[in-house]
Amino acid sequence: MSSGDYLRFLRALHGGKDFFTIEAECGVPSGIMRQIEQRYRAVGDKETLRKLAEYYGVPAEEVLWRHEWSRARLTFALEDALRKKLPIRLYLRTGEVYQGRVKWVDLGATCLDVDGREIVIQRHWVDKWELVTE
Amino acid sequence: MYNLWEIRKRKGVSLPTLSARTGIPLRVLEDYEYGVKPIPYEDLSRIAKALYVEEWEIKTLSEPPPQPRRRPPQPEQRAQASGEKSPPRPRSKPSKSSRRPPKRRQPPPPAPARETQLAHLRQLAPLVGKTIEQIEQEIGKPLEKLTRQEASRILFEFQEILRERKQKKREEGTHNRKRAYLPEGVDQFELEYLTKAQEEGVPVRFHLFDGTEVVGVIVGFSPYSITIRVNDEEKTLNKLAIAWYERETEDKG
Repeated sequence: MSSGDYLRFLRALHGGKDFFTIEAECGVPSGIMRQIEQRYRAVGDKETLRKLAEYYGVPAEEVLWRHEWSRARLTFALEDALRKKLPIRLYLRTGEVYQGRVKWVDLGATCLDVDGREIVIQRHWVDKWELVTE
Repeated sequence: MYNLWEIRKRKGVSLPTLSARTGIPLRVLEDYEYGVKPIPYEDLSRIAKALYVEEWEIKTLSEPPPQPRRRPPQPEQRAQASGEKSPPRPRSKPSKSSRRPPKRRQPPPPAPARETQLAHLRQLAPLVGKTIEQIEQEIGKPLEKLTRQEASRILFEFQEILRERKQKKREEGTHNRKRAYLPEGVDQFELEYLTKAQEEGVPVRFHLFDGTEVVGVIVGFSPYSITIRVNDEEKTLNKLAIAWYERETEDKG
């Protein structure tokens, strides 16, 4: 999970407050959160990420190591599975694991065909993923 | 360049309104539209301002519109149009104000291009694959020396190129994705999914971040939330809080 998706997940856990409120409360530059969560590439300096981690009450390292992972990686994996017609396994932060063929990929969600069930998964809940090649 | 009547109709302005805005008599405007006489510079400027267009967009001699004219032109104008000399008209005694020939104002010098126009030009130039130097070479002078009318014409040309390019991409199917502004925004596929579920009125099972599940019929959605009806009660779910959802099938009951 990228730092952007992880911070979005933390925002959801903390009542889904809007960007402006959180930025004002933890003293990060205005507009940075939108960019961190929205951009496909990794945005935000370490100091900002540390402040956000502190605000959400998680170790800074939890956010910082994810910063190496851009949001685009999940998109690439999903589109790869779609193109190769291979199943993908998604590990959600709820503890659930879904394996199925990708039906579509959107900016905020993806749809898996899991044994005939069409499940729309919000991508900020996807913690890990792997292509199923066998 | 377009006929005056075309621009006027496109802007939804009636002839009497245009007459009131410009101070040009209705009959004269009709003559301009039917191409009985060309639009002089002074009137062209007033008409362009009243219709919020550039002067160069209006043809000075219009082609007549497809509908026949309600009132025929004056005999004098008909004669002018056919090249004949008009017969003398009986004249009433000239009033005091009409004794002196009206002073014709000299047309003002062309206004320089606005800063915003130049900024827009600089912004669009790379998009149409041109450098500022190339544009300056084509127009034969520095960008800062452009008149307002010239800048407007070049901008119009650039926008036409970009519009055509966009249209072409749309036809080729390479420009059909619309990206939502925020990550939790509803994008094309999710939009289709939610719309279909709403139209069919099927129950949808939502699995939320805290492990709870809510089943309801979608009554509406926005980029950030989905509103469902559960037992005659409406609930709005923040999209951030939704982990996944699926259509409820009969066997799950």
